[in-house]
Amino acid sequence: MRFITFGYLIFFVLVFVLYWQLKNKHHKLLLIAFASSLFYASWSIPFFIHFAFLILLNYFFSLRIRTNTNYKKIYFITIVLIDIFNLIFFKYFYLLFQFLYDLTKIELFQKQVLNNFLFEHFYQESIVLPLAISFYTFQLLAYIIDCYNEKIQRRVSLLEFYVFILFFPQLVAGPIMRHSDFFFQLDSEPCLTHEKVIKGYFLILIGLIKKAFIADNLTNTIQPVFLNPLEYNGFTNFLSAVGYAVRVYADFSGYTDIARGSAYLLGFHIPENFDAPFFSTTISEFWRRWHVTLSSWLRDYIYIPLGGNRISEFRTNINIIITFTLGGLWHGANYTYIVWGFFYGVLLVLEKPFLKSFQNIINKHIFFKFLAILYTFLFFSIGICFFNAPNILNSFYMLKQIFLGGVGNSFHKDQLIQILGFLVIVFGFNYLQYIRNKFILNIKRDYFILFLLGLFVIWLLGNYSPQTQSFIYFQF
Amino acid sequence: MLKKIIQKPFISTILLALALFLTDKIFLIPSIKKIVLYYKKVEIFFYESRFELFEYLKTYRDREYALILGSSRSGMFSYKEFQQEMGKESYIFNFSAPLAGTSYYYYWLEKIDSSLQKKPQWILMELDAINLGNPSVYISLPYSYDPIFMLRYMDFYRDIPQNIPQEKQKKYIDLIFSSDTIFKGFSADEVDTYFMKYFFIINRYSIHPNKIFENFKKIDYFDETKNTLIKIPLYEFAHRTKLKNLENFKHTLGGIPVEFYTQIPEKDLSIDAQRNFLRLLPSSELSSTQLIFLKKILDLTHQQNIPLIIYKPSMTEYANQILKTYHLYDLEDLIKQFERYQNIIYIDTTSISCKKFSDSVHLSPECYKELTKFISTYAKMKVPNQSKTF
Repeated sequence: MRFITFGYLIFFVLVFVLYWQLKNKHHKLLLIAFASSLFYASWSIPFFIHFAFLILLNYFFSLRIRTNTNYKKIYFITIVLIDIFNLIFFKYFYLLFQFLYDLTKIELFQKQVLNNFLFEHFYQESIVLPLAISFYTFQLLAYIIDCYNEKIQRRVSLLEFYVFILFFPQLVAGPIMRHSDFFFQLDSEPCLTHEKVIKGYFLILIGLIKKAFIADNLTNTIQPVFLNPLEYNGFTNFLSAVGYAVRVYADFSGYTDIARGSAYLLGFHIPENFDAPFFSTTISEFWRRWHVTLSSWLRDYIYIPLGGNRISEFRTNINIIITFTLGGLWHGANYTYIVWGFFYGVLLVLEKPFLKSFQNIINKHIFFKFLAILYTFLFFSIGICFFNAPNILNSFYMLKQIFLGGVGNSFHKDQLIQILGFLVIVFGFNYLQYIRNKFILNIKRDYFILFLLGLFVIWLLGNYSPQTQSFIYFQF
Repeated sequence: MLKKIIQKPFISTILLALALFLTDKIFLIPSIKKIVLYYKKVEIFFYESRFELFEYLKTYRDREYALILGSSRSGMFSYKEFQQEMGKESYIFNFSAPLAGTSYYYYWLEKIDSSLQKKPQWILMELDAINLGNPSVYISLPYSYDPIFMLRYMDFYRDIPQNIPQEKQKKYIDLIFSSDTIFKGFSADEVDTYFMKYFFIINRYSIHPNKIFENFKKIDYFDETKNTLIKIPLYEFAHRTKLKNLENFKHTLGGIPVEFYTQIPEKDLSIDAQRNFLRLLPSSELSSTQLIFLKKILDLTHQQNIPLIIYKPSMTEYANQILKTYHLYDLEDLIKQFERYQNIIYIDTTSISCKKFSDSVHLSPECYKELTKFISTYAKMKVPNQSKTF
């Protein structure tokens, strides 16, 4: 079930009304568990069963890890391997085959050969990637690792754990929650306040604008350039990369807004994933503000266990590159994502020695801050050439066109205005995230603003929303 | 007391949602709808007026009738010419609508079948790749069908793609047309779009301030009742035209008046074809929904032994060329499926001698006489002779 559908609207209204009619906390949780199951099963019943089984398995192992000190390590390694194997099987199967094909040139390893076989015999186009597999695997792993490290003191029931993993607003594309983000909220009786209603509505409406108006409209403009970069000139390639930077922000941040808004209306708070990333002045700051829950996951469960910055500078740098390359691989089973992650790892290493002097200069004058923001945004956009290209060759073609001033077609005026217009609007949304703590609640005023904003969104979606595309991060 | 209730967060959440929902419904009030619907959007009229044509058809329940199902390319058929050529005097109702496809055809076929309890003498159905593309599903969703129909024919889980790429069409056509096919019709996404447009009026009609301003521009209009030239706003002009056309249904039985077709100069037909296909059929993919409904039409007419005349419309060479590059010109794999149905006759009308066109995909009105004659010659083989019924 996608967020921007009539189905989700009806589903959410029903859940909302029923949820707040239930007086018992336990019943409320049961309803969320049932609704979340329905939400996932509406995509695929077999994969829902697979997912539910995985949750049960992880819960069973987490209990063993917490109670059985003798075999704690064995339980821990077993369940981590199961989770990782599950992810690798579904997500990296083709990449593995591609790798073997590149190595051996044996036709059997070609993706198309395998897909043709599946289609001919089972009417399956390809091996299906279970929805949200990367997100829920990381959430499960974080919980298991925290259990192993004895960071979880609270007793967690199966129902609570089930809801923690399957909670429908954040199920499909995060934020990747930790136990500390969620379980404490179950200790008290859920309550709906005007603040939560206003925040919830506001986030949902803003999320709709980001996704259906900005992200979806940009798709048709920029995607042809990524598919055939050599047909377009350098500036158009560059603008497409900028356009995709805008799109991926609008898409993913829009999804997160709707997810957080839905959670607020059910009385829950789920963590923010975007903290005004386009206002970052360095690449390292950018990764603290962009997809915050993934960045912190990579830091806590890969970078720090590898030694973090408590070891030699050389090893630290290698750890940064490994962490970011794995972060890239998490996004997708394609060489492009590996290079994308590696690219940022290297950039961070190169930037590290200058960070302090950078900060001193930036703090001196707003103009330098502006330049720093520009530098960060441009490097993010350059990285997009790897992130969104269908293959590594196209990424390099794009870079070649951009940096060697390639000739070819260009955008026409309307497309140019669209990209630049959306860029300005998206910086506006980043500014809203930047000053979010400065808002003071005024119930009457805020409800009135929400009413007007709601009408505007209905109008905007009715007129300017192309057939809604899937959220980009759903594929991860 | 009331104030206290309203101030509860749960109630205010519901009230805000209700306020937004009800404000949107303002555009359903006829006097407001008349002003805000863009005067150029004729497809709204032709789709919505089919419900009135249906009511009109019901008044003919005691007489013999036939049906024409097609896109705007079939809108220009004159039922009187058909009567003449076919040698029968049944009333031929034309349910054609702009860019309509097989899901739309089936909707009317089933609705007419269930409410009239009397089968049509014959059915003429237009069919080529345009009627089977994804755009032909989406254009009809805002203005046609009803909620029960949509829910009844929804495939909640459908494991075939919504758009079938050309190279896999044979395989999927075989699957959809197999005797034990399990597909119901619409994909969950299509049903969702339908309900979004059904419940949100701004979304259904794309109401836009610029278009409303344009609606207020005045034009000269000859008022027949007062026999004088008056100035009226464009929305009023569009409204009067609609009323006139609804009245005309009594004479045309649903045919689309010739004045609704634009005449493109011959030198621009190539560009027109390229532009048209971006809207009508932007790729070589066929909609699985339309193929499923085509199968349903074949089955329904076969079970009831209704002669079904399927005709492939004639288009400009430029348009044919595009279909050829898509490998969708002949639709051989699909046409082969018709062999199993004895009630069907398939007619390729591209060989008619009249080659004049209004635009890249529409024949010129002057060719319809020949086209009618051409179709009737073949159709007579399938349609049994009956005595005059009126």
